[in-house]
Amino acid sequence: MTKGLYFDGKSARQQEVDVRLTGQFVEFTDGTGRLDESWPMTELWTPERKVAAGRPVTLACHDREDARLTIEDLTFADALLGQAPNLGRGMLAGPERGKQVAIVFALLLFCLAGGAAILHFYAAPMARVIPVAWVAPLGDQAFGLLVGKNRLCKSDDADRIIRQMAGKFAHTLGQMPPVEILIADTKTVNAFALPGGRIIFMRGIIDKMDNPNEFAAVLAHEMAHVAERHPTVAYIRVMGFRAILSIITSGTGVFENIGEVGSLLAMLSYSRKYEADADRLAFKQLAAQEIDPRGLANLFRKMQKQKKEKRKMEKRKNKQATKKENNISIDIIDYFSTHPAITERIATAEAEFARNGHTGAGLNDTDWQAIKRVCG
Amino acid sequence: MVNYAFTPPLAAAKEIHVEHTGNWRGLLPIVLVNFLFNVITIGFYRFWGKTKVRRYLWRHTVLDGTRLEYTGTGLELFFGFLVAAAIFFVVALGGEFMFGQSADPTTLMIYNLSFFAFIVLFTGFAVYRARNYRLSRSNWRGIRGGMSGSAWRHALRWLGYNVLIILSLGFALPWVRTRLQTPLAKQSQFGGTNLQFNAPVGPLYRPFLICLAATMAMFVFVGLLIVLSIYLSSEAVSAIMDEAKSAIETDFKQSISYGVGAVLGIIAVLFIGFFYVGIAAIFSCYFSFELRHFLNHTGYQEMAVKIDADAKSLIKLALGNFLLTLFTLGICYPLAQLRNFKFFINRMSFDGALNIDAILQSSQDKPQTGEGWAEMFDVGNV
Repeated sequence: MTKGLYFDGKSARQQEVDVRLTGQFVEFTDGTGRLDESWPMTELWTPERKVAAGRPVTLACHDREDARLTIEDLTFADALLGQAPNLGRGMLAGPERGKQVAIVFALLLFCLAGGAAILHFYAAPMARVIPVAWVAPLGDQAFGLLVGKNRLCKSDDADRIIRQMAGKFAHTLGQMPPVEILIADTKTVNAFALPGGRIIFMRGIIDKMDNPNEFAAVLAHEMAHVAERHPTVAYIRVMGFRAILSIITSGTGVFENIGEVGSLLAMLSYSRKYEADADRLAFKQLAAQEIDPRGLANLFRKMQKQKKEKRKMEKRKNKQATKKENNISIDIIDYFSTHPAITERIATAEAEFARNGHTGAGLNDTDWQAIKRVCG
Repeated sequence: MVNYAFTPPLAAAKEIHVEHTGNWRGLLPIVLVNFLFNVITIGFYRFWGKTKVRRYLWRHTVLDGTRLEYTGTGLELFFGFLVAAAIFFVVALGGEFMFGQSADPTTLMIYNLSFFAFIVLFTGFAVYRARNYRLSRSNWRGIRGGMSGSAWRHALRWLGYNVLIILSLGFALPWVRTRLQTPLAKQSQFGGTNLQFNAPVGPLYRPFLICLAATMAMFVFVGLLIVLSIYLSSEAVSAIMDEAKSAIETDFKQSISYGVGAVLGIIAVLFIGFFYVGIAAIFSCYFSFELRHFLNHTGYQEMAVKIDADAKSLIKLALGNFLLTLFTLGICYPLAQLRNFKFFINRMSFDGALNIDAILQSSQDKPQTGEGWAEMFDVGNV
């Protein structure tokens, strides 16, 4: 028997009580018969999180939410722990704690997986219903970043030839947004489609082309990206991932980069699927015009060769440990983006040729030269 | 019929004492473990970490010999956050796609203003809800607190008054913050009894204007430093250029000017950073004055709060907390909170007496989840 203070949770009045432990209950009474309570050991918890031996104890009971019993007698904690050892291990000791942790992680995974699933399944339908005018400013921004101050190459002949070819491809693709095709005067070897329907060829890629069917293959590929709204889909997914991750990690500035890395990985992994889809549709367009699909394969082979040579040169130059780290990161990015895909894509183009046997060039020599000379 | 026979007579009102018994040695292990777990869980542990810090701060606040309890849980904070994050995600993403990329400047302007208003409105909502949650999870002698007003009404007030701050170029800040604090304090309850609050605005303008003058002085000082650095750098560049005029190739000249540009950029960023840090430090002092002022005009039952703190000690507290948070990159912010708790609670006394037995339990329902919006917008100091 020891002395304690009882607060009934209805008023702040304190009542002095005699407290005793009976094995299964903590019993307390004010000695007048007005107050006589028993709290089962299994229903006890402490706002102190756990009962510590040799310290005052505050107890609460699950079915008496706000009521409190405090015992200043320092020996009481030992006696209580002898009968209810769980109180010494914290409120959620053992399986309860494990259960709560499991619930939290399950919820976290559910939120992440749910968000990712929504983005995965609904980004493409969303991209289709978003008006082109809404995403065009995005395309303008990307255009400014990628093309910058480089001159745009123009000639009436080249414009007419490209428009004609694009028109035929668009006919095969069916319903698609209006397309604008531009050639930028830069030695970068690349071509890309932007949100809003703009397709950019860099002069560098045209310089690399030896045959008009290579140009036709690249144009068909980019037209497929525009028709499928791939740039908009990618934007929705990247923005979505970034938003989910930045919301979850908000308030912890140190981790903001995780959102960036996550969205980059998401973008790269999705881009491989887009490329495969765009190739498939490109072969359909080329087949409709009886153009040789190996143009795409030839261009890839040249890029692969150039990449290998460049890599050899870099390896020779960079033998220091720090540079090695950079190479490792380049390898990782390559893995996620294009490295295995290029070999697969060359094989797919060859298989397409084996299937349809088309050998058309897509353009006569005069027209092809007009395009090759467009940047002077 | 009420049976008076079983109701003991009310004790007389009595003078009470409050103290904070926490210390940094007790809190630091919690802070470090929280940081470690936050790193491991990419910040996801913060709900539980915050709860542990609050539990420590509350537990070491002893009012009339009885410790204050914090009964909130990390799970409640987490659920609240999930709800707020889901709503915010839908609104923000939807708005961004529908209007955020518009080429029409008027649409874009209206969208940006609306989004700004949404953020400000929900920040006000968050402040109110967070206070309600914290009060409802604060328990002393079995009695908990709460808020007796409407969070939406407060959110609208918050929006309107913040527009006033912008229109007044910041000069209305003390007036607005007092006007916003008044209903917040008056609607705060402990048990079924509301706090009393009647703070005049006038006394806040003196420290505010001093802080404003200090900010202006710093602005002029930093501006002069930037101009001086640019002048000295350009002098050095022209000297280098003149000396090697004939020999240097155009490309090399250009790269030198790019280099100088980069250095100037870094200098400017450093000075601007210094300027922002300076403003934050100066106004942290103002907010300490403001807190003392607000507490000095708060009462409960027949009791009025008094804080015994002079200007020097307030500035020392504010700057100490600011530097502690800045140099530990925010990791030790809970230690700054502890300093605030100890400072104000240990200097707090009460004029008048408290009738403890007359404090009855609050009849309001407890919110089920906590502070989601406050977590989203990073409001609420504790």
